[in-house]
Amino acid sequence: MKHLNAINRKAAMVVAATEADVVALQQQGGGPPQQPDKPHIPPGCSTVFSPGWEADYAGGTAGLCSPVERDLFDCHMGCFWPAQVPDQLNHAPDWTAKCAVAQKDWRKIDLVFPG
Amino acid sequence: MAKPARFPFRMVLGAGAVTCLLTASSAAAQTPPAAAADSGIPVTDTAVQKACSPCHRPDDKGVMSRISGRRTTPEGWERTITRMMALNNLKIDAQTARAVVKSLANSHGLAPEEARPGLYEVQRRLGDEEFKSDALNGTCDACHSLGRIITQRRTKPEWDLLISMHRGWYPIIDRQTFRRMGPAPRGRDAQGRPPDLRHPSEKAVDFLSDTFPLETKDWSGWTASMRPARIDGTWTLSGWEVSKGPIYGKVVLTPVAGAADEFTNTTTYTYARTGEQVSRTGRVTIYTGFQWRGRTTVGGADTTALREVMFVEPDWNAIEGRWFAGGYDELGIDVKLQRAGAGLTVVGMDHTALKTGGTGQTLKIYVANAPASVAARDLDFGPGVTVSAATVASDVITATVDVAAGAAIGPRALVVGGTAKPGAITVYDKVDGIRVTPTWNMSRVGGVVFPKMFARFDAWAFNNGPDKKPNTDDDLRLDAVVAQWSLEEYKATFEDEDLKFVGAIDAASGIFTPNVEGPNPQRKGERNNMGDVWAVASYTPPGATTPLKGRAHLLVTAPLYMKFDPTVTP
Repeated sequence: MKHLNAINRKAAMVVAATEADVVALQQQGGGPPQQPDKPHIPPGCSTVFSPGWEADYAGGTAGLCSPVERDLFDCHMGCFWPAQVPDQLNHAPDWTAKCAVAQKDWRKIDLVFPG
Repeated sequence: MAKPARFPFRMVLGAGAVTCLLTASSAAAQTPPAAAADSGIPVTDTAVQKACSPCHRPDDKGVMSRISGRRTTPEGWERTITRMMALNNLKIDAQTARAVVKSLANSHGLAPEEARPGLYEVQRRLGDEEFKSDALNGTCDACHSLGRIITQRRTKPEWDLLISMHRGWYPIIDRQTFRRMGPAPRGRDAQGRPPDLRHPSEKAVDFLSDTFPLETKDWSGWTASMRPARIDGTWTLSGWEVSKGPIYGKVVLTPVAGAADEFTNTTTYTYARTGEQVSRTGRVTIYTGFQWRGRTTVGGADTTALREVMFVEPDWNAIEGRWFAGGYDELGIDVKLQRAGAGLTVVGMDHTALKTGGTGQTLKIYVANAPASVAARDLDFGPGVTVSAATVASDVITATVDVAAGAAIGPRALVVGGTAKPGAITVYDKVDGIRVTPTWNMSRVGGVVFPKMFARFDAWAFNNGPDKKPNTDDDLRLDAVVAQWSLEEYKATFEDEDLKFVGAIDAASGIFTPNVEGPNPQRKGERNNMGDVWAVASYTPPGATTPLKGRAHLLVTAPLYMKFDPTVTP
């Protein structure tokens, strides 16, 4: 960044983000590596990256569908997340029966213990 | 809300899937594949035959379709039975189901060396999977851990049928993972070989059939000599609970009359950091001669229940595993049991590091079979470390230790009462840094309908070692330190305000409590309280002025709306 200057708001945010990383600066003197060197996907998490359930393609949450309730019924009907969301076809055909709109009535859907 | 534009597409898939499902169910309920019927491990237990034969007809050798072609853990068999109940209309009471699981885990289970690589799966550990396979990449692990796979053994027809089962129940899985989408590979590779035209699921089955076959030397060897584990008696306990530190105590196992593989369990232990004492009682069943599955409580209260999944070493002298609870099994204690002999045994200590030049440093040494009295000269930490006083009470030796300024740094054995504890302490001259473990962690929002998944951290002090350089092999891990904890923004996107919404970390303990699930009207776009943050530990060593910091990535993510993983308890 020595010969570059931020000339718009977004570039200024990049500079600010770098300078604010106090822990990383402390580690520059040779401390132990603290930054994951690649996207980290916890085991058991879905790697169906479109968009990803627990983690996105970068190992974070920024690219996830949120609020998840917005698309939950579509996930249910389409069996898109077989290990995360009950499917309408087999495991929980009535899962959404008490919940007309997930974004409003999400408290009415239950945790399912499938086979 | 579902997107209307996508609705018809999903419904078309659903209609197709019904056809798939009917085909798969019919196949499973009728004549089994010839290859599966011709080979497999006979089921000789009449209780299993009675419970399963309405669908899985045995042949004249007792070989039952599907069942005989597979071996797996108690959890694997329990998952199968719950699936049969949920999707195949199986009616079975809990007692019979428990007996079937136990019988199949013994007759169609895993040998110790087959089970060992998949222990993290049954012990519900959130760690990186060591098992990797290009052949499985993007198929099985697209939805669940590979641990679920490597804890199974099947014939090739059975691996094929497992794929078919997934296709039947999850009809779009072909598009998601099983079949190659896009054009087939063309041309020859660098070695002149023709292109591999197999679909991903076909590659997976070929790999699984070769790598995890039904019949193995490990299993035939184990079944020839399998016997009830004679583990009754007293065991020393040493363990570690993240954010709470070391625990020490003992476990007493008493045989249950009439059952060679069941025990009652009385456990007492102390948190060395706080002195908190815990007494638990419960039961243990040993499956397949080595797989400990237990459950204990404090005074019978279900809210205090811990599930115990442990591995009994074949010599019956050591048992290791994890005790856990929590909505996602995330609150656990790593536990090691060692058979308590007749003599003095050092179980562990409240601290594992001593600073050079320090005088009057106090160590609590947890032992089994403590002598009636102990003198300072009975304890030896090697040159440069002087024990000036020692007392003993209730299996705890309290020692006062001075360390010479020039004492050599590095791990030391403690020799006491004719026994040695290698690497009991590490002598160091300076804390050069701290590291947070685990280096990454995951939490799930919850607390309204779905459970919260908590995340916990430890901070460890490190010394750079004799070479004075960080991150080299000679670095010395010293001791867990009591740090101040906070959260910092992980720079994934700008202005996502994750810090404001994801939850809070307890400054003293390092325990992260996520926020509630559900859309948050306070957040831009009504996003959930999910996000990425750093869990930051800050620690100022005695005599220093500048705090040392370390951090770990914390993923605060969505709940699971299904809980697949079974609970096998006695």
